[in-house]
Amino acid sequence: MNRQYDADVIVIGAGGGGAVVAKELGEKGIKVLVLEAGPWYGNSNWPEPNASKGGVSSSSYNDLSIDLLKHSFTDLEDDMNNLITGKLRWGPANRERGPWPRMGGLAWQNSGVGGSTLHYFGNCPRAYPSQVYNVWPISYQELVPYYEKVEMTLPVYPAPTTDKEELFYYGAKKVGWQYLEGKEINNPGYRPQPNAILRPNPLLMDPDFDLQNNRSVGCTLRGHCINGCNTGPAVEAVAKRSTMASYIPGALRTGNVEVRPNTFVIKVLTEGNSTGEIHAVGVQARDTWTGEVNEFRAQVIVMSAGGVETPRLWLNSGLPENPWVGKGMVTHWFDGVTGIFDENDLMNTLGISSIKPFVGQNAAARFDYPGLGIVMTVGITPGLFSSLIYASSSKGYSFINQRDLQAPWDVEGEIVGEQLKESMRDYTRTLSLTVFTDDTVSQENGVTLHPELKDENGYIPVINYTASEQDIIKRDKLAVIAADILRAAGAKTVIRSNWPPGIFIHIMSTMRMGYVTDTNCEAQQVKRLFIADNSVLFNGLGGPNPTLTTQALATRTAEKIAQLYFS
Amino acid sequence: MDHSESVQDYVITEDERLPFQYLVNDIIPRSPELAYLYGIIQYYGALDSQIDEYLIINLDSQDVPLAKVTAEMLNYVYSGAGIFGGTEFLTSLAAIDSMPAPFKDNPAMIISSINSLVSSTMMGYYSEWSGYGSTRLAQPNDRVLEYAPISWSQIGYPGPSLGYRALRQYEF
Ligand SMILES: Cc1cc2nc3c(=O)[nH]c(=O)nc-3n(C[C@H](O)[C@H](O)[C@H](O)COP(=O)(O)OP(=O)(O)OC[C@H]3O[C@@H](n4cnc5c(N)ncnc54)[C@H](O)[C@@H]3O)c2cc1C
Repeated sequence: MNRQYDADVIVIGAGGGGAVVAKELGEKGIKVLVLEAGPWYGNSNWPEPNASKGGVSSSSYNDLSIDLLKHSFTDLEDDMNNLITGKLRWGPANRERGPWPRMGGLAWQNSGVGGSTLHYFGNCPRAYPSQVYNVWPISYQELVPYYEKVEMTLPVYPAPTTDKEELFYYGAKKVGWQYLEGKEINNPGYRPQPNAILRPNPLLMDPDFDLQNNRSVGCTLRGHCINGCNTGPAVEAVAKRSTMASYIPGALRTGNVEVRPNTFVIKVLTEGNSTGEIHAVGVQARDTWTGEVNEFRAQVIVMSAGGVETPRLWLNSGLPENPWVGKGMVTHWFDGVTGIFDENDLMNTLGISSIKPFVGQNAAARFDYPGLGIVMTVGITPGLFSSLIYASSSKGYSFINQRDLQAPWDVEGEIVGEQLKESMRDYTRTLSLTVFTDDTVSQENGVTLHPELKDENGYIPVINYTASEQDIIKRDKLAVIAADILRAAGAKTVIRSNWPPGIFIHIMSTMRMGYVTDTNCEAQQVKRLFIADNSVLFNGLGGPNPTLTTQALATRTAEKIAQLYFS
Repeated sequence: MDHSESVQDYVITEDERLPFQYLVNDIIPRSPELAYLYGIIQYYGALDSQIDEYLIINLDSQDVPLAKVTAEMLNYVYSGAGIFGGTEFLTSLAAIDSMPAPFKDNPAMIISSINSLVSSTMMGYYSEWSGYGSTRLAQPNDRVLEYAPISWSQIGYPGPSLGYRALRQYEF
């Protein structure tokens, strides 16, 4: 490595995509420096990641500490997932400071080594082939070997069944939907979730198995995926395969990767040559504890800051104008449809008295419908559960709304007051389904900079998203399908939340391949600058959860970087 | 660790609390009727778990503290039709001369602020927060879970778990 460089490659962001590039390049012997804005949980260089600055960086696998991780990840949902003060929030490590501001809706992401995969559910379906073939600038076949590699590395398995999933399968089957086999989905039907969660501990059902002192490998179905899983004997063997537990330990094992948390990149630096072509040469980054700004230089820079921050950083760096930077955002515009069941009915169908949404993996069963999107079970702890299902609606308060007698649900809108208390009294007999819409790419939707408001990292991002007529139709169809499945399973009451379009969970395609980058994911206007996160996806994949595809593409991008610049 | 200092990290005045108390009570009220039907535990509501304080500390944990101006905005809401008064009513409040920024002339901000207070009320009440008891107003790193919230008994949530022997053998 040339001495004028801090590394061969700098990766900005250690989340879903960035961690993959780091490990893949490290394995090829390329020196990588990962700069991550948030904290690092489970690393002995940061014994108190939220309370004091700790070390500067870590490049040793031996620094990882499962004991520290268990200490930080408390399984308590306000401690972990409060949007303002939680450990998994979009903000600096220091929780006495506020979150980093954004405008235009709730972009539910978090900072930290692992990025938003720290609180993701681990769902890893592939894109619908029909949404890639002849649509993307690269073919579906081109992605397959990379899908296979990521599926093996994470690894990805079909999720196990607990009561809530069985009730869902029972309903879906009763409606007449087909069971889907295989990874390539071309027809509607239901299946266990392909997810990046290690299979259940083989001793789990043994009554003598000591859960209290368990330090063995495997999921224990305890339902804390969203609160940042800590089940396992080592960070690398934690059951839920956030990149903190999968690709980052793998990257450290190569001996070629250094990760520097608490480091917010505020500018990408470029140089031009006589022909007017510009290329990336480094970055400026700010220490989130001290405010100190440093420059880092490398031969190649990879932006993996996520669907909002990657375009924000491009714009704040004054990189060349491009009408698609920040534009074309899709989010799968979610919805929630929920069924409340009677004890007697559950006894008659499954022989159980409750289904306990907090038991089992958070999203272990799904229904796919290429052309429309997805319906998926979601069972989570009660604070998040109530606020997502009963407090998120574009329809206002349900008690004010007129009951629509044509609608397949009994109630629509927010549920408050005694009705909320009654609904939550039925929490253990509630099955909630989440809908993801195959929403349309539009250049009107996306991320811009606020013209005046800045935080310490530059002008703040403003998100704009409006659903199209088509999106509304697709989402309504999926909501009806979800309600029918719940009804068939025996739900006594069905509630449609009807989420507003301003809650963003799958933020994708704000730096689209073919428009902002070429098919190698290198920026068309800035050489040696690559993109490897959800923003480079060409579209919303037809509805499937995006991370696996982002990771497959990131694996491919690492290969391209090595071929183009380090062979 | 000595919590005595950090317990007072957030200073909350009684005046400021009042409008937040109205709001949380609207969302999760005390319910004599539910208590009568299902047992006394169902009586308790957000006020019994100090969820008004939860809202205030969340608002004041942002780099620009918002509790005071939000309290002022809510005072206007509650001197009229309340949070259920409808979009037209809430929109009209933005025009009030003495409405503070960022709500003045910004009806969308009033509505989105109330929406997020409603969802925070649920997050506060049904999560572990009230169980932090005497440390609930401390900085987040210094809180200690002292007991299980009332809400968990109301809904049958046993609290965090190390595992469930809940695997079913399902044949597809
Ligand atoms: C509750 C929830 C559940 C989810 N479940 C699933 C699921 O089951 N399956 C799925 O596929 N997706 C899921 N998602 C979405 C998933 O989290 C994202 O698809 C995925 O994390 C995206 O990866 P990314 O690399 O684009 O961004 P991120 O994972 O967000 O990573 C970006 C990283 O960059 C860092 N960063 C940002 N800006 C800078 C900067 N300027 N300098 C330095 N670092 C920076 C961030 O701190 C972050 O660590 C879920 C999301 C939520 C909120």
